[in-house]
Amino acid sequence: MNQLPKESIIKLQSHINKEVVIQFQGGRQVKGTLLSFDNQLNLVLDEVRELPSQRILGLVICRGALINSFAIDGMVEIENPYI
Amino acid sequence: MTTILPLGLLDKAISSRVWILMKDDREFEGTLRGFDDFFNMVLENVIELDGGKKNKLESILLNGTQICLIVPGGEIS
Repeated sequence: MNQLPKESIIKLQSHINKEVVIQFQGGRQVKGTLLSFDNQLNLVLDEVRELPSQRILGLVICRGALINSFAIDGMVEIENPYI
Repeated sequence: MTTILPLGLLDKAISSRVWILMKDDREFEGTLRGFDDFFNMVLENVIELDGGKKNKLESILLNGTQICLIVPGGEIS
């Protein structure tokens, strides 16, 4: 197989200064404004609130290693489609 | 405009208080003395919050694998 380029397939640059909702392993969820990121997906978020408690955390560093997913443009709760 | 990288922000927080939220329901607040690439951290004058119980620890090495969120200048609330 040819050497694949060592670039990330995730293009976070376009989401800078946007609000994101991050889910972590272990169940934590936070909502905040994306300020910066690095190759390992560690993030700096601003105006962070923890969900669902709405506890205000402020300026926060998030560990990329524990991130499960990101939602950009918010999330909408729907009825369970599997029942 | 200069953006600050996550590790850069953590470096700025050295010698100040940080609030750390782990993957589970534990939290630590302490003075950051140093860290490494894996986010292992040396903290001093630490308050550990573990399921409602608070413990005081003088000096700890906190394992980075379980660290979820770091709030520079923050305190347990």
